[in-house]
Amino acid sequence: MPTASSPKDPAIRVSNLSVTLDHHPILENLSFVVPRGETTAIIGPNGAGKSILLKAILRLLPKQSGSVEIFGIPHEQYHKIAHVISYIPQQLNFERSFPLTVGGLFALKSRRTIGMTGEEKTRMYRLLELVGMRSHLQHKISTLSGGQMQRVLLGYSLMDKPELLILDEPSAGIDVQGQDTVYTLLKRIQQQEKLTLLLVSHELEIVMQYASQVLCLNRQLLCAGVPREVLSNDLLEKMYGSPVGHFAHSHPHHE
Amino acid sequence: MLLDLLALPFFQRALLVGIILGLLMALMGVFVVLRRLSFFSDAIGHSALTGIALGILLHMNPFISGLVFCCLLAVVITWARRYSKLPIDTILGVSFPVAVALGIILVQLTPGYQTDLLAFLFGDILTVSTLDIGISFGLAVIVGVFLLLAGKKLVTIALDESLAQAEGVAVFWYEVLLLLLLAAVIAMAIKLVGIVLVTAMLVIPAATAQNLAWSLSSMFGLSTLASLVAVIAGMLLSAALNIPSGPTIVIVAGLLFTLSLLRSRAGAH
Repeated sequence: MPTASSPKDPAIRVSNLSVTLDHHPILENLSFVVPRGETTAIIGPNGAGKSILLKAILRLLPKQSGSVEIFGIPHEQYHKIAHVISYIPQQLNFERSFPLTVGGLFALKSRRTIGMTGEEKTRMYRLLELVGMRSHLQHKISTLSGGQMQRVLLGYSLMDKPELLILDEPSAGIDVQGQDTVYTLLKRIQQQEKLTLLLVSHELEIVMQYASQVLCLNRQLLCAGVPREVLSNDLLEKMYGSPVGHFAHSHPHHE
Repeated sequence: MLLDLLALPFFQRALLVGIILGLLMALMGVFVVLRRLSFFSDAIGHSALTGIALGILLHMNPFISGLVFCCLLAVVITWARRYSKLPIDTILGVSFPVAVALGIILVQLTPGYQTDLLAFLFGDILTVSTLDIGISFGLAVIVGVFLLLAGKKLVTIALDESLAQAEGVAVFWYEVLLLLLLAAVIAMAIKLVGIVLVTAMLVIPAATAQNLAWSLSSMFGLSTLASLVAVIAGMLLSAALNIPSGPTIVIVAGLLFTLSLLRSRAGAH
Protein backbone atom coordinates (compact mmCIF):
# COMPACT_ATOMS: atom_id res chain seq x y z
CA MET A 1 0.00 0.00 0.00
CA PRO A 2 1.28 3.48 -0.80
CA THR A 3 1.91 5.26 2.44
CA ALA A 4 0.85 8.91 2.20
CA SER A 5 -2.19 8.43 0.00
CA SER A 6 -5.83 8.35 1.03
CA PRO A 7 -8.37 6.06 -0.65
CA LYS A 8 -10.05 9.16 -2.06
CA ASP A 9 -7.09 10.03 -4.25
CA PRO A 10 -7.57 8.95 -7.83
CA ALA A 11 -5.13 6.41 -9.26
CA ILE A 12 -3.59 9.09 -11.44
CA ARG A 13 -4.09 12.85 -11.50
CA VAL A 14 -2.42 14.69 -14.38
CA SER A 15 -2.48 18.50 -14.26
CA ASN A 16 -1.34 20.80 -17.07
CA LEU A 17 1.20 18.29 -18.32
CA SER A 18 3.34 19.35 -21.26
CA VAL A 19 6.11 17.26 -22.80
CA THR A 20 8.71 18.51 -25.27
CA LEU A 21 11.16 16.28 -27.07
CA ASP A 22 14.08 17.85 -28.94
CA HIS A 23 12.34 21.24 -28.72
CA HIS A 24 9.19 19.87 -30.40
CA PRO A 25 6.03 20.05 -28.32
CA ILE A 26 4.59 16.53 -28.12
CA LEU A 27 1.94 16.88 -25.43
CA GLU A 28 0.31 20.21 -24.63
CA ASN A 29 -1.29 21.09 -21.34
CA LEU A 30 -3.06 17.82 -20.52
CA SER A 31 -5.24 17.52 -17.45
CA PHE A 32 -7.22 14.43 -16.55
CA VAL A 33 -7.93 11.94 -13.80
CA VAL A 34 -7.77 8.15 -13.91
CA PRO A 35 -10.27 6.82 -11.35
CA ARG A 36 -9.41 3.83 -9.19
CA GLY A 37 -10.58 0.35 -10.00
CA GLU A 38 -11.71 1.18 -13.53
CA THR A 39 -10.41 0.85 -17.06
CA THR A 40 -9.29 4.01 -18.81
CA ALA A 41 -8.31 3.81 -22.48
CA ILE A 42 -6.24 6.34 -24.38
CA ILE A 43 -7.02 6.51 -28.08
CA GLY A 44 -5.63 8.64 -30.86
CA PRO A 45 -3.99 8.49 -34.28
CA ASN A 46 -0.38 7.43 -34.84
CA GLY A 47 1.99 10.10 -33.57
CA ALA A 48 -0.61 11.48 -31.16
CA GLY A 49 1.77 10.98 -28.24
CA LYS A 50 -0.03 8.07 -26.56
CA SER A 51 3.08 6.08 -25.64
CA ILE A 52 4.89 9.30 -24.73
CA LEU A 53 2.07 10.13 -22.30
CA LEU A 54 2.42 6.76 -20.55
CA LYS A 55 6.18 7.20 -20.35
CA ALA A 56 5.85 10.75 -19.02
CA ILE A 57 3.45 9.54 -16.31
CA LEU A 58 5.98 6.87 -15.33
CA ARG A 59 8.83 9.41 -15.47
CA LEU A 60 10.61 7.41 -18.15
CA LEU A 61 10.69 10.71 -20.06
CA PRO A 62 11.14 14.21 -18.64
CA LYS A 63 8.21 16.62 -18.70
CA GLN A 64 8.31 20.27 -19.62
CA SER A 65 5.75 21.46 -17.08
CA GLY A 66 2.74 20.36 -15.08
CA SER A 67 2.35 17.71 -12.42
CA VAL A 68 1.54 14.03 -12.17
CA GLU A 69 0.31 12.34 -9.01
CA ILE A 70 -0.06 8.60 -8.66
CA PHE A 71 -2.22 7.52 -5.71
CA GLY A 72 -1.76 11.03 -4.36
CA ILE A 73 2.04 10.94 -4.50
CA PRO A 74 3.94 13.19 -6.93
CA HIS A 75 5.68 11.00 -9.48
CA GLU A 76 8.97 12.72 -8.63
CA GLN A 77 8.94 10.30 -5.68
CA TYR A 78 8.40 7.38 -8.02
CA HIS A 79 10.41 4.97 -5.85
CA LYS A 80 7.67 5.22 -3.20
CA ILE A 81 4.94 4.01 -5.53
CA ALA A 82 6.89 1.76 -7.90
CA HIS A 83 5.81 -1.37 -6.03
CA VAL A 84 2.11 -0.81 -6.73
CA ILE A 85 2.61 -0.06 -10.43
CA SER A 86 3.20 -2.45 -13.31
CA TYR A 87 3.97 -1.31 -16.82
CA ILE A 88 3.95 -3.37 -19.99
CA PRO A 89 5.73 -1.57 -22.84
CA GLN A 90 4.66 -2.01 -26.45
CA GLN A 91 7.49 -4.45 -26.92
CA LEU A 92 10.55 -5.50 -25.00
CA ASN A 93 13.95 -4.64 -26.40
CA PHE A 94 15.69 -7.96 -25.99
CA GLU A 95 17.46 -10.02 -28.61
CA ARG A 96 16.40 -13.44 -29.79
CA SER A 97 19.49 -14.91 -28.16
CA PHE A 98 18.53 -13.71 -24.66
CA PRO A 99 18.49 -16.99 -22.72
CA LEU A 100 15.55 -16.33 -20.42
CA THR A 101 12.72 -18.80 -19.86
CA VAL A 102 9.19 -17.86 -18.86
CA GLY A 103 9.92 -19.19 -15.37
CA GLY A 104 13.19 -17.24 -15.29
CA LEU A 105 11.33 -14.06 -16.20
CA PHE A 106 8.91 -14.50 -13.30
CA ALA A 107 11.83 -15.24 -10.97
CA LEU A 108 13.16 -11.72 -11.68
CA LYS A 109 10.31 -10.38 -9.54
CA SER A 110 11.20 -12.60 -6.60
CA ARG A 111 12.39 -11.26 -3.26
CA ARG A 112 15.10 -13.93 -3.27
CA THR A 113 18.45 -13.22 -4.90
CA ILE A 114 18.40 -16.65 -6.55
CA GLY A 115 15.30 -18.66 -7.37
CA MET A 116 11.85 -18.02 -5.84
CA THR A 117 10.02 -18.69 -2.59
CA GLY A 118 7.37 -21.41 -2.50
CA GLU A 119 4.66 -18.80 -2.13
CA GLU A 120 5.92 -16.92 -5.17
CA LYS A 121 6.01 -20.13 -7.19
CA THR A 122 2.40 -20.84 -6.29
CA ARG A 123 1.40 -17.36 -7.46
CA MET A 124 3.39 -17.79 -10.68
CA TYR A 125 1.62 -21.07 -11.48
CA ARG A 126 -1.76 -19.49 -10.73
CA LEU A 127 -1.03 -16.48 -12.97
CA LEU A 128 0.34 -18.62 -15.80
CA GLU A 129 -2.83 -20.72 -15.51
CA LEU A 130 -4.92 -17.54 -15.65
CA VAL A 131 -3.26 -16.30 -18.86
CA GLY A 132 -3.25 -19.80 -20.36
CA MET A 133 0.54 -20.18 -20.51
CA ARG A 134 1.15 -22.78 -17.79
CA SER A 135 2.58 -25.27 -20.28
CA HIS A 136 5.18 -22.73 -21.45
CA LEU A 137 7.03 -22.43 -18.14
CA GLN A 138 10.29 -23.82 -19.52
CA HIS A 139 10.06 -22.12 -22.92
CA LYS A 140 12.51 -19.39 -23.84
CA ILE A 141 10.72 -16.05 -24.10
CA SER A 142 12.38 -15.47 -27.48
CA THR A 143 10.46 -18.42 -28.94
CA LEU A 144 7.02 -17.06 -27.96
CA SER A 145 4.67 -15.50 -30.50
CA GLY A 146 3.48 -11.89 -30.06
CA GLY A 147 0.25 -12.97 -28.44
CA GLN A 148 1.91 -15.51 -26.15
CA MET A 149 4.45 -12.88 -25.06
CA GLN A 150 1.61 -10.47 -24.22
CA ARG A 151 -0.04 -13.12 -22.06
CA VAL A 152 3.22 -13.95 -20.31
CA LEU A 153 3.96 -10.26 -19.68
CA LEU A 154 0.45 -9.82 -18.34
CA GLY A 155 1.06 -12.62 -15.85
CA TYR A 156 4.51 -11.27 -15.04
CA SER A 157 3.14 -7.79 -14.41
CA LEU A 158 0.65 -9.19 -11.87
CA MET A 159 3.34 -11.06 -9.88
CA ASP A 160 3.83 -8.37 -7.25
CA LYS A 161 0.10 -7.61 -6.91
CA PRO A 162 0.04 -4.15 -8.47
CA GLU A 163 -2.85 -1.74 -7.94
CA LEU A 164 -2.25 0.08 -11.20
CA LEU A 165 -1.50 -1.63 -14.49
CA ILE A 166 -0.32 0.50 -17.42
CA LEU A 167 -0.32 -1.16 -20.83
CA ASP A 168 0.95 0.24 -24.11
CA GLU A 169 -1.16 -1.24 -26.95
CA PRO A 170 -1.80 -4.66 -25.45
CA SER A 171 -3.08 -5.89 -28.81
CA ALA A 172 -0.25 -4.75 -31.10
CA GLY A 173 0.78 -7.58 -33.40
CA ILE A 174 -2.08 -9.91 -32.47
CA ASP A 175 -4.81 -11.08 -34.83
CA VAL A 176 -8.37 -9.96 -34.11
CA GLN A 177 -9.38 -13.31 -32.63
CA GLY A 178 -6.44 -13.23 -30.25
CA GLN A 179 -7.09 -9.58 -29.42
CA ASP A 180 -10.50 -10.30 -28.10
CA THR A 181 -9.20 -12.92 -25.72
CA VAL A 182 -6.46 -10.63 -24.38
CA TYR A 183 -9.08 -7.99 -23.57
CA THR A 184 -11.51 -10.51 -22.10
CA LEU A 185 -8.62 -11.70 -19.99
CA LEU A 186 -7.74 -8.14 -18.98
CA LYS A 187 -11.33 -7.45 -18.01
CA ARG A 188 -11.49 -10.58 -15.88
CA ILE A 189 -8.16 -9.86 -14.20
CA GLN A 190 -9.14 -6.26 -13.64
CA GLN A 191 -12.26 -7.33 -11.75
CA GLN A 192 -10.61 -10.19 -9.87
CA GLU A 193 -7.62 -8.21 -8.67
CA LYS A 194 -9.46 -4.87 -8.24
CA LEU A 195 -6.99 -3.22 -10.56
CA THR A 196 -6.88 0.20 -12.08
CA LEU A 197 -6.12 -0.20 -15.77
CA LEU A 198 -4.68 2.50 -18.00
CA LEU A 199 -4.13 1.35 -21.55
CA VAL A 200 -3.34 2.71 -24.97
CA SER A 201 -5.36 1.32 -27.84
CA HIS A 202 -6.29 2.22 -31.35
CA GLU A 203 -9.09 -0.31 -31.57
CA LEU A 204 -12.26 1.74 -31.15
CA GLU A 205 -14.58 -1.23 -30.88
CA ILE A 206 -12.60 -2.65 -28.04
CA VAL A 207 -12.50 0.68 -26.23
CA MET A 208 -16.29 0.95 -26.55
CA GLN A 209 -16.71 -2.51 -25.13
CA TYR A 210 -14.18 -2.59 -22.30
CA ALA A 211 -13.29 0.92 -21.11
CA SER A 212 -15.27 2.90 -18.58
CA GLN A 213 -13.43 6.07 -19.49
CA VAL A 214 -11.81 7.10 -22.74
CA LEU A 215 -9.23 9.84 -23.30
CA CYS A 216 -8.94 11.07 -26.87
CA LEU A 217 -5.45 12.33 -27.55
CA ASN A 218 -3.86 14.13 -30.42
CA ARG A 219 -1.12 16.10 -28.72
CA GLN A 220 -3.93 17.79 -26.81
CA LEU A 221 -6.76 16.17 -24.94
CA LEU A 222 -9.77 16.22 -27.31
CA CYS A 223 -12.21 14.37 -25.10
CA ALA A 224 -12.55 12.60 -21.79
CA GLY A 225 -15.49 10.60 -20.51
CA VAL A 226 -17.69 7.54 -21.01
CA PRO A 227 -16.92 6.14 -24.49
CA ARG A 228 -20.55 5.96 -25.75
CA GLU A 229 -21.16 9.54 -24.67
CA VAL A 230 -18.04 11.30 -25.88
CA LEU A 231 -17.03 9.40 -29.01
CA SER A 232 -19.12 11.25 -31.60
CA ASN A 233 -18.41 10.87 -35.29
CA ASP A 234 -17.53 14.55 -35.43
CA LEU A 235 -14.90 14.14 -32.75
CA LEU A 236 -13.41 11.03 -34.35
CA GLU A 237 -13.23 12.83 -37.66
CA LYS A 238 -11.49 15.76 -35.99
CA MET A 239 -9.06 13.42 -34.28
CA TYR A 240 -8.23 11.06 -37.11
CA GLY A 241 -8.66 13.62 -39.87
CA SER A 242 -11.07 11.43 -41.86
CA PRO A 243 -14.52 9.93 -41.25
CA VAL A 244 -14.30 6.87 -39.03
CA GLY A 245 -17.39 4.90 -38.05
CA HIS A 246 -17.78 3.70 -34.49
CA PHE A 247 -18.03 0.15 -35.57
CA ALA A 248 -15.93 0.23 -38.70
CA HIS A 249 -14.89 -3.39 -38.94
CA SER A 250 -12.41 -2.43 -41.59
CA HIS A 251 -10.52 -0.24 -39.14
CA PRO A 252 -6.98 -0.51 -40.47
CA HIS A 253 -4.30 -2.23 -38.47
CA HIS A 254 -1.23 -0.14 -38.11
CA GLU A 255 2.36 -1.42 -38.21
CA MET B 1 56.66 -32.68 -17.19
CA LEU B 2 53.30 -31.08 -16.42
CA LEU B 3 53.51 -32.43 -12.89
CA ASP B 4 56.92 -30.80 -12.45
CA LEU B 5 55.40 -27.56 -13.64
CA LEU B 6 52.50 -27.80 -11.20
CA ALA B 7 54.99 -28.14 -8.36
CA LEU B 8 56.57 -24.78 -9.14
CA PRO B 9 55.29 -21.99 -6.85
CA PHE B 10 55.18 -19.37 -9.61
CA PHE B 11 53.07 -21.64 -11.79
CA GLN B 12 50.73 -22.42 -8.90
CA ARG B 13 50.30 -18.72 -8.24
CA ALA B 14 49.66 -18.09 -11.93
CA LEU B 15 47.10 -20.88 -12.10
CA LEU B 16 45.31 -19.63 -8.99
CA VAL B 17 45.07 -16.06 -10.30
CA GLY B 18 44.06 -17.43 -13.70
CA ILE B 19 41.20 -19.39 -12.17
CA ILE B 20 39.98 -16.46 -10.05
CA LEU B 21 40.07 -14.06 -12.99
CA GLY B 22 38.63 -16.62 -15.37
CA LEU B 23 35.68 -17.02 -13.01
CA LEU B 24 35.25 -13.26 -12.65
CA MET B 25 35.39 -12.62 -16.38
CA ALA B 26 33.01 -15.49 -17.10
CA LEU B 27 30.34 -14.01 -14.80
CA MET B 28 30.84 -10.37 -15.80
CA GLY B 29 31.05 -11.54 -19.41
CA VAL B 30 27.42 -12.69 -19.27
CA PHE B 31 26.37 -9.08 -18.66
CA VAL B 32 28.86 -7.79 -21.24
CA VAL B 33 27.23 -10.04 -23.84
CA LEU B 34 23.62 -9.49 -22.74
CA ARG B 35 24.03 -5.71 -22.50
CA ARG B 36 26.22 -5.54 -25.59
CA LEU B 37 29.10 -3.91 -23.75
CA SER B 38 31.94 -5.51 -25.69
CA PHE B 39 32.92 -2.25 -27.39
CA PHE B 40 32.88 -0.56 -23.97
CA SER B 41 35.12 -3.30 -22.57
CA ASP B 42 37.47 -2.93 -25.52
CA ALA B 43 37.68 0.84 -25.06
CA ILE B 44 38.32 0.52 -21.32
CA GLY B 45 40.90 -2.20 -21.89
CA HIS B 46 42.83 -0.20 -24.44
CA SER B 47 42.73 3.02 -22.48
CA ALA B 48 44.31 1.19 -19.54
CA LEU B 49 47.48 1.64 -21.60
CA THR B 50 47.32 5.37 -20.82
CA GLY B 51 46.92 4.75 -17.11
CA ILE B 52 49.78 2.26 -17.13
CA ALA B 53 52.09 4.58 -19.08
CA LEU B 54 51.19 7.40 -16.71
CA GLY B 55 52.07 5.19 -13.75
CA ILE B 56 55.46 4.26 -15.20
CA LEU B 57 56.18 7.90 -16.04
CA LEU B 58 55.29 9.05 -12.52
CA HIS B 59 57.07 6.10 -10.82
CA MET B 60 53.80 4.75 -9.44
CA ASN B 61 52.64 1.13 -9.45
CA PRO B 62 51.50 0.89 -13.09
CA PHE B 63 48.78 -1.62 -12.27
CA ILE B 64 47.19 0.70 -9.70
CA SER B 65 47.39 3.72 -12.02
CA GLY B 66 45.85 1.62 -14.82
CA LEU B 67 43.02 0.52 -12.52
CA VAL B 68 42.29 4.08 -11.39
CA PHE B 69 42.36 5.37 -14.98
CA CYS B 70 39.98 2.63 -16.18
CA CYS B 71 37.51 3.37 -13.38
CA LEU B 72 37.65 7.12 -14.01
CA LEU B 73 37.00 6.59 -17.70
CA ALA B 74 34.08 4.27 -16.91
CA VAL B 75 32.48 6.97 -14.76
CA VAL B 76 33.04 9.64 -17.45
CA ILE B 77 31.50 7.40 -20.13
CA THR B 78 28.45 6.55 -18.00
CA TRP B 79 27.95 10.20 -17.20
CA ALA B 80 28.31 11.24 -20.86
CA ARG B 81 25.86 8.53 -21.86
CA ARG B 82 23.28 9.83 -19.46
CA TYR B 83 23.63 13.55 -20.09
CA SER B 84 24.42 13.76 -23.77
CA LYS B 85 22.21 12.76 -26.66
CA LEU B 86 25.06 10.98 -28.43
CA PRO B 87 24.79 7.22 -28.88
CA ILE B 88 27.19 5.14 -26.80
CA ASP B 89 29.03 4.07 -29.97
CA THR B 90 29.97 7.66 -30.73
CA ILE B 91 31.00 8.42 -27.14
CA LEU B 92 33.27 5.36 -27.14
CA GLY B 93 34.47 6.03 -30.67
CA VAL B 94 35.72 9.44 -29.50
CA SER B 95 37.04 8.62 -26.02
CA PHE B 96 38.76 5.35 -26.98
CA PRO B 97 41.21 6.66 -29.65
CA VAL B 98 41.89 9.86 -27.68
CA ALA B 99 42.83 7.86 -24.58
CA VAL B 100 45.00 5.45 -26.60
CA ALA B 101 46.69 8.32 -28.47
CA LEU B 102 47.52 9.94 -25.15
CA GLY B 103 48.90 6.60 -23.97
CA ILE B 104 51.15 6.23 -27.03
CA ILE B 105 52.59 9.73 -26.51
CA LEU B 106 53.18 9.00 -22.82
CA VAL B 107 54.98 5.76 -23.76
CA GLN B 108 57.19 7.74 -26.15
CA LEU B 109 58.03 10.17 -23.34
CA THR B 110 59.15 7.32 -21.08
CA PRO B 111 62.50 6.10 -22.38
CA GLY B 112 63.51 2.51 -21.74
CA TYR B 113 60.15 1.17 -20.56
CA GLN B 114 58.88 -0.30 -23.78
CA THR B 115 59.59 -3.85 -22.59
CA ASP B 116 57.42 -3.39 -19.50
CA LEU B 117 54.65 -2.12 -21.71
CA LEU B 118 54.92 -5.18 -23.90
CA ALA B 119 54.10 -7.32 -20.88
CA PHE B 120 51.02 -5.19 -20.25
CA LEU B 121 49.96 -5.38 -23.88
CA PHE B 122 50.14 -9.15 -24.06
CA GLY B 123 49.91 -10.21 -20.44
CA ASP B 124 52.39 -12.11 -18.35
CA ILE B 125 50.55 -14.28 -15.91
CA LEU B 126 53.70 -16.15 -14.93
CA THR B 127 55.00 -13.06 -13.10
CA VAL B 128 52.06 -12.61 -10.72
CA SER B 129 52.90 -11.76 -7.11
CA THR B 130 51.18 -12.62 -3.84
CA LEU B 131 49.79 -9.07 -3.86
CA ASP B 132 48.16 -9.77 -7.24
CA ILE B 133 46.51 -12.85 -5.78
CA GLY B 134 45.23 -10.78 -2.87
CA ILE B 135 43.85 -8.07 -5.14
CA SER B 136 42.16 -10.58 -7.47
CA PHE B 137 40.66 -12.43 -4.55
CA GLY B 138 39.33 -9.20 -3.02
CA LEU B 139 37.89 -8.15 -6.36
CA ALA B 140 36.32 -11.58 -6.82
CA VAL B 141 34.55 -11.27 -3.46
CA ILE B 142 33.25 -7.77 -4.26
CA VAL B 143 32.05 -8.76 -7.73
CA GLY B 144 30.52 -11.98 -6.39
CA VAL B 145 28.52 -10.16 -3.72
CA PHE B 146 27.44 -7.47 -6.20
CA LEU B 147 26.27 -9.97 -8.80
CA LEU B 148 24.43 -12.00 -6.20
CA LEU B 149 22.59 -8.99 -4.78
CA ALA B 150 22.06 -7.07 -8.02
CA GLY B 151 21.89 -9.95 -10.51
CA LYS B 152 18.12 -9.93 -10.99
CA LYS B 153 17.98 -6.17 -11.34
CA LEU B 154 20.82 -6.26 -13.87
CA VAL B 155 19.03 -8.93 -15.90
CA THR B 156 15.81 -6.88 -15.85
CA ILE B 157 17.77 -3.83 -17.07
CA ALA B 158 19.38 -5.93 -19.81
CA LEU B 159 15.96 -7.27 -20.81
CA ASP B 160 14.37 -3.83 -21.12
CA GLU B 161 15.55 -0.59 -19.56
CA SER B 162 12.18 1.15 -19.36
CA LEU B 163 10.56 -1.96 -17.89
CA ALA B 164 13.23 -1.97 -15.16
CA GLN B 165 12.84 1.75 -14.53
CA ALA B 166 9.06 1.43 -14.26
CA GLU B 167 9.60 -1.33 -11.68
CA GLY B 168 11.51 1.21 -9.60
CA VAL B 169 15.04 -0.03 -10.35
CA ALA B 170 17.62 2.76 -10.04
CA VAL B 171 18.94 1.96 -13.54
CA PHE B 172 21.62 4.66 -13.58
CA TRP B 173 23.26 3.56 -10.33
CA TYR B 174 23.22 -0.11 -11.23
CA GLU B 175 24.82 0.84 -14.51
CA VAL B 176 27.54 2.92 -12.82
CA LEU B 177 28.33 0.08 -10.42
CA LEU B 178 28.36 -2.54 -13.15
CA LEU B 179 30.66 -0.49 -15.38
CA LEU B 180 32.97 0.43 -12.48
CA LEU B 181 33.37 -3.20 -11.48
CA LEU B 182 33.77 -4.15 -15.12
CA ALA B 183 36.57 -1.59 -15.43
CA ALA B 184 38.24 -3.02 -12.32
CA VAL B 185 37.96 -6.58 -13.62
CA ILE B 186 39.40 -5.48 -16.96
CA ALA B 187 42.30 -3.68 -15.31
CA MET B 188 43.05 -6.79 -13.26
CA ALA B 189 42.65 -9.14 -16.22
CA ILE B 190 45.17 -7.16 -18.25
CA LYS B 191 47.77 -8.87 -16.09
CA LEU B 192 46.44 -12.24 -17.19
CA VAL B 193 45.89 -11.93 -20.92
CA GLY B 194 47.05 -8.38 -21.67
CA ILE B 195 45.21 -5.34 -22.95
CA VAL B 196 44.88 -6.73 -26.44
CA LEU B 197 43.13 -9.90 -25.41
CA VAL B 198 41.13 -8.84 -22.36
CA THR B 199 37.89 -8.26 -24.24
CA ALA B 200 38.24 -11.66 -25.82
CA MET B 201 38.20 -13.32 -22.39
CA LEU B 202 35.19 -11.27 -21.32
CA VAL B 203 33.20 -11.94 -24.45
CA ILE B 204 34.16 -15.39 -25.78
CA PRO B 205 33.21 -17.65 -22.83
CA ALA B 206 29.89 -15.82 -22.33
CA ALA B 207 29.16 -15.92 -26.07
CA THR B 208 30.01 -19.64 -26.09
CA ALA B 209 27.56 -20.14 -23.23
CA GLN B 210 24.87 -18.12 -24.98
CA ASN B 211 25.06 -20.44 -27.99
CA LEU B 212 24.22 -23.39 -25.76
CA ALA B 213 22.19 -21.91 -22.91
CA TRP B 214 18.59 -22.98 -22.33
CA SER B 215 18.10 -20.59 -19.39
CA LEU B 216 19.85 -17.78 -17.59
CA SER B 217 21.42 -19.93 -14.89
CA SER B 218 22.71 -22.34 -17.52
CA MET B 219 24.35 -19.39 -19.28
CA PHE B 220 26.23 -18.44 -16.10
CA GLY B 221 27.27 -22.06 -15.54
CA LEU B 222 28.41 -22.71 -19.10
CA SER B 223 30.27 -19.40 -19.27
CA THR B 224 32.19 -20.30 -16.11
CA LEU B 225 32.94 -23.74 -17.45
CA ALA B 226 34.17 -22.44 -20.82
CA SER B 227 36.33 -19.81 -19.13
CA LEU B 228 37.95 -22.23 -16.67
CA VAL B 229 38.65 -24.80 -19.39
CA ALA B 230 40.23 -22.07 -21.53
CA VAL B 231 42.38 -20.71 -18.67
CA ILE B 232 43.60 -24.06 -17.34
CA ALA B 233 44.09 -25.80 -20.70
CA GLY B 234 45.57 -22.62 -22.16
CA MET B 235 48.13 -22.24 -19.39
CA LEU B 236 49.18 -25.88 -19.44
CA LEU B 237 49.47 -25.82 -23.24
CA SER B 238 51.44 -22.60 -23.23
CA ALA B 239 53.90 -24.05 -20.72
CA ALA B 240 54.18 -27.39 -22.51
CA LEU B 241 54.70 -25.82 -25.94
CA ASN B 242 56.62 -22.80 -24.65
CA ILE B 243 54.29 -20.30 -26.30
CA PRO B 244 52.83 -17.11 -24.72
CA SER B 245 50.07 -17.84 -22.18
CA GLY B 246 47.59 -15.03 -22.96
CA PRO B 247 47.15 -15.80 -26.65
CA THR B 248 47.01 -19.55 -25.93
CA ILE B 249 44.13 -19.05 -23.48
CA VAL B 250 42.25 -17.02 -26.07
CA ILE B 251 42.86 -19.61 -28.81
CA VAL B 252 41.43 -22.35 -26.58
CA ALA B 253 38.42 -20.12 -25.79
CA GLY B 254 37.97 -19.47 -29.51
CA LEU B 255 38.01 -23.21 -30.23
CA LEU B 256 35.34 -23.80 -27.58
CA PHE B 257 33.24 -21.03 -29.13
CA THR B 258 33.51 -22.64 -32.57
CA LEU B 259 32.41 -25.97 -31.13
CA SER B 260 29.43 -24.33 -29.39
CA LEU B 261 28.46 -22.67 -32.65
CA LEU B 262 28.48 -26.02 -34.46
CA ARG B 263 26.47 -27.55 -31.64
CA SER B 264 23.85 -24.77 -31.63
CA ARG B 265 23.56 -24.96 -35.45
CA ALA B 266 23.08 -28.70 -35.20
CA GLY B 267 20.45 -28.16 -32.51
CA ALA B 268 18.57 -25.68 -34.69
CA HIS B 269 17.83 -28.30 -37.36
